[in-house]
Amino acid sequence: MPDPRPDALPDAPTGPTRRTRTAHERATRAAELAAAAAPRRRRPSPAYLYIAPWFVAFALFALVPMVMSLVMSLTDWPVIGSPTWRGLGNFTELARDAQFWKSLWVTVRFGVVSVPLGMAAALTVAMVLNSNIRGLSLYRTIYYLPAVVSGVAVGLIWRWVLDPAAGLVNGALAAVGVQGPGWLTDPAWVLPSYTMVALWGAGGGMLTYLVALNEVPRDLGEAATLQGAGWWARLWFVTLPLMRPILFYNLVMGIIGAFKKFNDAYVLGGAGGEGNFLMLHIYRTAFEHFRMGYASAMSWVFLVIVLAVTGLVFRFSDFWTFSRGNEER
Amino acid sequence: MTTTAPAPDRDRVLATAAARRREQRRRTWHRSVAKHLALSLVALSMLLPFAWMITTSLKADGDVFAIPPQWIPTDPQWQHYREVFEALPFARFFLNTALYTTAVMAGEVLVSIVVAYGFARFDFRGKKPLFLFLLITIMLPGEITIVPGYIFWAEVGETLGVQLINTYWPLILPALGGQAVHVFFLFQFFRSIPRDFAEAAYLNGAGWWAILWRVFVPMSKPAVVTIAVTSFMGTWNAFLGPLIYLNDVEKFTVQVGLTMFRGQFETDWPLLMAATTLSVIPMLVLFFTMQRYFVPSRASEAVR
Amino acid sequence: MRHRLPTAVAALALVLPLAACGGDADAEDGPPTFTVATWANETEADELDAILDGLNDAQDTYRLEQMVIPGGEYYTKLQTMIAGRQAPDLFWLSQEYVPAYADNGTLTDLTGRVEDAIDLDDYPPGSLDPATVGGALYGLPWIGQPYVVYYNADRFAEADLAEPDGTWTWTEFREVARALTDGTRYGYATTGTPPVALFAWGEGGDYVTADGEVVVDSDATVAGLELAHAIANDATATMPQGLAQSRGVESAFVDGTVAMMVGGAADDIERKVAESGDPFEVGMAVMPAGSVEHVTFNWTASTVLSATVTDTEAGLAALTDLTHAMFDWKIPAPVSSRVGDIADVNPQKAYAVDVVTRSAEIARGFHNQPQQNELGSVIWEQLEGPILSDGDGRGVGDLADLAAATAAKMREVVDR
Repeated sequence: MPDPRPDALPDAPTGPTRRTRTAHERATRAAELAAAAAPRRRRPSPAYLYIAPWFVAFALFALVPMVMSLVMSLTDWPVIGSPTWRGLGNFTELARDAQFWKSLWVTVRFGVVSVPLGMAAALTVAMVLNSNIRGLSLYRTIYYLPAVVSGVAVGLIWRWVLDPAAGLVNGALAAVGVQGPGWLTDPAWVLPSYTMVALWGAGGGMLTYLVALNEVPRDLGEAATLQGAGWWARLWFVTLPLMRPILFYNLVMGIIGAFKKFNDAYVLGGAGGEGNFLMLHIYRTAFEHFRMGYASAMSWVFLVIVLAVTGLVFRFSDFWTFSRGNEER
Repeated sequence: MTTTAPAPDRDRVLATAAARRREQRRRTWHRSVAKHLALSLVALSMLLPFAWMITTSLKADGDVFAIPPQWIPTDPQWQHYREVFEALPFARFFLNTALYTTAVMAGEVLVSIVVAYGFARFDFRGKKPLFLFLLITIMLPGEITIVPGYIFWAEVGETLGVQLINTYWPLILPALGGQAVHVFFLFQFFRSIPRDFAEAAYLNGAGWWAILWRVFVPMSKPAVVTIAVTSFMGTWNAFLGPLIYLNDVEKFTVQVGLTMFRGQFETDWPLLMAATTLSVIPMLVLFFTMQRYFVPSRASEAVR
Repeated sequence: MRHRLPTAVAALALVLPLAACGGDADAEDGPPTFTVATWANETEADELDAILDGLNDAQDTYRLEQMVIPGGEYYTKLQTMIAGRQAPDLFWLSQEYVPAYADNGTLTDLTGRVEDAIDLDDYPPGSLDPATVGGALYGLPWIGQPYVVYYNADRFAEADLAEPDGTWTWTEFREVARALTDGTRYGYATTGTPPVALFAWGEGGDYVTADGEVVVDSDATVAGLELAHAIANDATATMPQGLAQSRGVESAFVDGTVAMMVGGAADDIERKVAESGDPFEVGMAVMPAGSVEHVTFNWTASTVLSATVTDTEAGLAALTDLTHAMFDWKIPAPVSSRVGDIADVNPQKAYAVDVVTRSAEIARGFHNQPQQNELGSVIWEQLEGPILSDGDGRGVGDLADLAAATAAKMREVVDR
């Protein structure tokens, strides 16, 4: 059987040399397409060539370190010395390690609050900034600004802003006669502080939503309006369903991001262990407590936990099926 | 016959219509003012920490922690911005970072496009597990593979007899396989492009490779620009990798250079903030110029 | 065609940084080149480079090159480099890291090999201990600053109190603090400086002995912890913990709200007070004595020689020369003969040379263990934090029980 896609790769001639196919040729290729769709013995899909670069680079540069960390999770490895075999000892210790579970609890609480809030905030900002208002570029740039500054700089800035004595927030509160709390020094206020920092940076997520909003066809909205749908109805029944792929992307990345929270927590800290997010705890165990083996074990357990949570999200979404019709077989 | 209404009626109808239009215009105007007010208020809270950063960069050392805080420095120390370049080779840091960022961005964006296309356009054996695998690699915390990664590059260098530590290679080469996060993002766009588009192009004699660049990429321009911007920001702000792999001060990136203002005895806050302010500018310029790819379009009308 | 440009840019970007490398290989003949890893900031790095240049010009046995590792991530990078067999030849270690590094065989044992080049007797006894592990010397301290009491002399005059003469005890200190406390101002404030362990030392106790035995639950230690708890939570003498944390002890001292605070002898307190809106006369006093011992805390850092250095003789020469040279630097040197230098570096400290000298004589560090960082966090979370904040205001119960629980956890860490 002839290859149905003779010019799949490399590129077909481009530019001036390209000519429009004759009607006959079109008919032939349509037949080829039809043949391609029919059940038959297949050549390997060209997809493998397209996805190969990532997997090759992964195998070359990332696989060995990853396997090394997996092996190290079975050892006692003080980083600066040689590892000694520990079998599953790290994992059994982990099960009884109150600090690990406390960090997980801190991280989960942060995620449960900040992921939905952050998504809602970013979506709202994107929708408001997806219109023809005056000063649009300026607004967008300002709202995106927090995402531009790196995690460490954000931490430094916020440490000042939240400083109980010299800080901006308590200064403002004092001006209206309110004694502000010790944001990062009072355990009860640590997570609210982090949520505030996360919301402040939520504008960074606006970009992906702006892109998705661009994809929502205008006529659908108009059709809905003609049928008397209000703003909320249009949002709920037209816009959001069409943005599903990007909402899904942001949800998954939001969950992963919350679990992997590190940079600002590294600088900000927080009283009573309330700022001791999981990644921070792992990092400290590895580099400050000289227990890289144990920290590796934690990271792999961490991976399984994140995987379980995102797996649930996948399970209750139509991730694998919603675009079925658009694939080549 | 119902076509002609009595004249006074028609006048009334017309008058009401005009009033309604006026009313609508007034409402629109009100709404627009309210919108701007709300937007500006939130924008202000976004800007305050930056204002803090900039005023600090202009303060004399003693005023940094003054209580109550000074918002407008009495005697702005503009020379701090010059001193940043005198204290450390910051021009060199900017050049290093620009080259490094460009290389990583080019690699990540171009290759991620290709990989995402492979996953989004075709149905093939092993697609689901392979894609899941790609996603899982996003979840493994990078902080924990940094030591094995370093050992790997040191050993590879030793084996091949070339120096890889203290070079940009370990930071750039992995980007040539694309970036899993970007693949995931583009995947979500590519697969919602209806099959008909590709088929039309295919019938015109284009191969899959050509269809990618002539149909998919142009149709997803905002999405591609988004990953370009994200990739740029991520690399420009990268810290741990450059810190670990680069030893010589003249090879440092901006982010690593910034931390040199925090010393044994005290942190030079004004200089640190001046340098941080400078480090943000390239990203702001990039974002501002990329704006035109996010023009409010059809979509805006739908949700307004 | 359109896609050529990014590719070209990528290729260019790949090549350019490499052009910057090259030429790193050691010269084949000539003296060995040693890398010195430091956490210096931008000005300190320049000053150190000048010191290294001076050393390089003065002899032909070795050459020194500085590798600056920015402060915050110093140990992360250092440990990664050691793991990758790329260890710098000489490097700085803060006192709490020395045992772990020595224990893992990353350091050269200096015992009996540096005495000819450096006068170890010039180090006050307390300052060499943190560089000593199991009786062997692993590093040469290059910086040390004893902790002292800073006080607001104007407030003492106002309250008609005699300024401390250095012979006071914690009991007297507490009385003075009470006399300096009124409705809005406090005699004292602390959020963890000085370390709570200092009170245990004063009563003849310790957290861990020099041999590594956990004794945090001993009677003497518990007596010290009780003293620390009593002073920290005496609202008639000490600023409440929550307020101290939110105000910041140093800023509360500088603006006159708190009359006494503890800090490092080289801390820049005098300048900050002089530049504040309402300057006052700053005094410095030796730490109050406990009922058994008169002692203060000393923070030190050492320069160490990596075990990977093959030319040990040249390495030792470099280490001792460098240590001497750094004594001339602006930092507070940890040796007795140099204590007075503090006035040359910072003229505002001239008034306090005697106090600093006396403090250096009674200063000591912790008995650090290989698991010091981990022990430190256990102690802080389970013991010192609750003591200072009175268990977040809920009380700490019987301190002997708290100490016993902490000791159990510490022993678990040490024995693992």
